[in-house]
Amino acid sequence: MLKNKHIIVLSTHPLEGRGLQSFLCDEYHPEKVVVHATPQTINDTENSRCDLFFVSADLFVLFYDYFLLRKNKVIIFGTTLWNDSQSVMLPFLNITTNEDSLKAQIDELLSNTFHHENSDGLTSRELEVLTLVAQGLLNKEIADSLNISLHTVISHRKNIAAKLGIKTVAGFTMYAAMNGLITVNG
Amino acid sequence: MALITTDMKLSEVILQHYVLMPVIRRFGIHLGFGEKTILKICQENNLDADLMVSILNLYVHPTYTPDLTLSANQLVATVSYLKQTNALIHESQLPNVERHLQALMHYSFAKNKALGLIDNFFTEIKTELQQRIEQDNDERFPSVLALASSVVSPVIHATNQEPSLREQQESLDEKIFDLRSLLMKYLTGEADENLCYAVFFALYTLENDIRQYNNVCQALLTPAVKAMTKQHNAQK
Repeated sequence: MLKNKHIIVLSTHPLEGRGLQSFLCDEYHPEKVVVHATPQTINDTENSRCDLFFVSADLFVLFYDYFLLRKNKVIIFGTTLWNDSQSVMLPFLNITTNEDSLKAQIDELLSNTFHHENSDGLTSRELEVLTLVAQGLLNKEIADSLNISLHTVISHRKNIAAKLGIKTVAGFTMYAAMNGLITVNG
Repeated sequence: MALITTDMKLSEVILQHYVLMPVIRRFGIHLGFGEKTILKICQENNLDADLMVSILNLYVHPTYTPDLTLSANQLVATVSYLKQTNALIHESQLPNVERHLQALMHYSFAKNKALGLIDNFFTEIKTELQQRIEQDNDERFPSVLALASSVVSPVIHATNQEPSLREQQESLDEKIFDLRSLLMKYLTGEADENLCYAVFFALYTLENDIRQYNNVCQALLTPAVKAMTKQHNAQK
């Protein structure tokens, strides 16, 4: 399921990070798994190539905005105690358990995560553009933020509109809110 | 599909295109018109038959372009038709969507918070629509009527406003279309299906009427206003 995928594991505890990296490599044989102690050390190439982030609960909270933008490819890991205290439903991996349970949980999370990404046929880049549109950014601002040309942003927007059958910014915003890409007050 | 003409029986036209029922109502024609032709009914109700078939055809043929340049009287009648459309949207169609939506919220919101987003989106559309209706009644229609009666006109003002108004209206029916799409395609989780269908159809009727309203403005009102303004300026 993770063949050809690039994965970033984020944990402040080196052993925890290395442990998850090793488990993923042994069980799923992805193309690459790198471990970081903070998203600040992830370079642009790694970031754009990354298919899935495994992030520890504390780092998720600390870099909430960063991960919210990548919400559709984030799996949070930690103890069930943390997960129970959250009101937002996010893919969550309980790591205080045995190997079999860990494997079963990851299997399920992966099928949900990758299914979600493709359920309406949007690519991860299109989801990023959609999220920024929903946040009220203008095309030029989106281009700057993602380091792509204005022309590419417009072309992404056309594709999103065609795939979703939605034409207005208000419609995009609502789609994003309904799919957890953005959070709405109230 | 053949175009509707003034010598056709209104009853047969409506049997074929039942969506025209509300249009007839906006012209003030009551039920029980028997086997009379459109021309006869228009004469009896003091209505302009050419204008009426143009509007009927615009309603049922999306690509139809009316071969009619409105006279001053027809312009006044068109404004009155549009006012009536706005009144029905305000008094009947918006409350209709709201009623179904409130019932849906009442029964299903506790189980499905995404419905709150649907409700918010509709409130946004409603506010914009009410503002547009207000703007039409307070600014647009009075200036068109002033032009039709050849009073020295705030015409330039009206003409300048056309594009922005049209953009706003287009985005309104597109927004309703998007709201329907979201309701149909992307609302997951538990929600009373009967009420979802009710909201969906109420929105569809509203969207359709706004689109028809825009069509009448674009195909009849705006060209007439432009032509009369030109004529008016030439006379100066």
